[in-house]
Amino acid sequence: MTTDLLKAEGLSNAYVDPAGGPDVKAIQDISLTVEAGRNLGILGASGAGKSTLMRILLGLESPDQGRVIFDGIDIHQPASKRSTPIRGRIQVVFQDPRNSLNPHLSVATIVAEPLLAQRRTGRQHQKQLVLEMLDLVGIRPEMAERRPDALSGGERQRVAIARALITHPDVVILDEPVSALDAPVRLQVLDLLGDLQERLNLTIILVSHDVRTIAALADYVMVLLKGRCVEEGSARELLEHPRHPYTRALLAAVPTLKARGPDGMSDRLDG
Amino acid sequence: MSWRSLPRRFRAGLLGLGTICGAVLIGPLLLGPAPQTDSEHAALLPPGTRITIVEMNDGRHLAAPRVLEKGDNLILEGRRQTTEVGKSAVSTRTSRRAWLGTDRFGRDVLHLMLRGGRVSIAIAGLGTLIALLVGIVVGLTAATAGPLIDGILMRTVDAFLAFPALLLLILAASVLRPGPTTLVLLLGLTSWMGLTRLVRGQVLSIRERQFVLAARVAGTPWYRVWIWHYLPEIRGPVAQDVALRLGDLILAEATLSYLGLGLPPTTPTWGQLVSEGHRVMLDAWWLSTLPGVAIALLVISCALIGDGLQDS
Repeated sequence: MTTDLLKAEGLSNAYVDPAGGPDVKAIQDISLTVEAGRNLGILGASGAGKSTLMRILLGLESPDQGRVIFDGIDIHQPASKRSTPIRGRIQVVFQDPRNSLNPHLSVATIVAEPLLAQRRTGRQHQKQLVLEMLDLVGIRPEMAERRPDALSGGERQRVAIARALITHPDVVILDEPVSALDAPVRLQVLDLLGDLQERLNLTIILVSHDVRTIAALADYVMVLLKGRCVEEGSARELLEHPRHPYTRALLAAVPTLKARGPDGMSDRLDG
Repeated sequence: MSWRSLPRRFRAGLLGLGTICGAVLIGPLLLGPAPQTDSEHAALLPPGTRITIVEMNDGRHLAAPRVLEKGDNLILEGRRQTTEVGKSAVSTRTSRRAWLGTDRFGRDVLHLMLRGGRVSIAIAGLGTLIALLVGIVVGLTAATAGPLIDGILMRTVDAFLAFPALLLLILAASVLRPGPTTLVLLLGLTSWMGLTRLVRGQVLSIRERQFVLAARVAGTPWYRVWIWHYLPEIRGPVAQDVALRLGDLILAEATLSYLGLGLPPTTPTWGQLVSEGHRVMLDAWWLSTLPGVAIALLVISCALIGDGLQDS
């Protein structure tokens, strides 16, 4: 059974051009539905409006038009009007782990931060949860007291994943989660994400320009071009039989590719 | 981080500031109470003069650079006056050196400078602390509370900056005739604007960093975002500004005191010593010069620390 977890209706957003030109339309009339347990991939080149869409879905920015409903709650309503807090139920992993981890804090503190915001658990229990989560993403306990500078790129991204998952969110938005990493590390992190998704019952929204990353995790895909959705459909269908010329061009840029099937994925990701 | 690895200017500045602060803190304790003064015989003595202090049977003290014996009398020779007293009226004679000379009232300049330095540094330091707190809070609020509040706060800053700070200080000081608390508040509240601008600019540049966004997504409360994410990132430039600000406020306090708008003359600060000395500059160069040098050394030390922080 599937249920609608997150629904966006008619999202549009424009920026005022600081140079005085006409407003820049970042996204226009985007609607999407995310069902629990089915990963959505948002595919598009830079400038297609991916970042804006992601910021709106995360609640970092309010859309000019449209709304985002998460579990029956309009996420852009002021927090005071909401009956239940959504804090911690939507989380994010950013592209560049050098930038997304505060260099002044220890790994343990970074991972614990979203828990502290929830104010639900005692300190001792939090410590336990942090160590468990670090173990789950493959970070050794002795690294918990280190600063991010002492970690490799892949390790940092694992820490960022741990921070996102510590609150057991319903939805995790991944913003180019592997594009800042070296090729072999990419594969490990993608494997980890796929593994964690099944274990923790996550729903992933994956934002990427890279068809292979999308293919590795997404169940269905939406293709953005200049702020509009030009094509959407199940990952298998869309990646094997693209209809829109832009999607075809994107796929043609990747040498070998198959959609995500039931038979695992690692053999296709030798990028 | 080892001492050697710090920039040279920073080390020099820290050494200067440390020496001066250490001297004014520990110096008065080592020197003990201020020696007896004698404004008639021991006034305006140059640095290094040995002074003989004569205690009379009736409890009065006389002090003079030269004391000669002549029969049953002592002759006290001062710069302006010579007095003869009978030996029988004298109970004790002691002597000491005025290492930095004496002022118009025969007071020991070393004592005055050490005690005055405490006041000068404490007032400038507390003023800087107020400027720091106001600057950080207003700057962070402006950068994070949305365009309306940002606009109001930054226009307020502009309005404050439109007046030269010194004029503002002189105006306020001549109306209020400040005591120590008022003076600290005045100094602090006329010098927070630069820090506000600095903090706002720095925070605007890190507000969109991904670790800050991740904290906002997770619902981290604003005060924790300030303390965990903003303050550690801006502490370098802020420390640098604070060092320079401390030097500025030392100078501002000295200027007010020099103009007679500072603390009442019963608490002699360095600025007041310079001011008193300049009336007798030709007779006694050391009176203005030595506190002036102390002010200059302190300000230069602060500037060196500021520069060094920029280099590191």
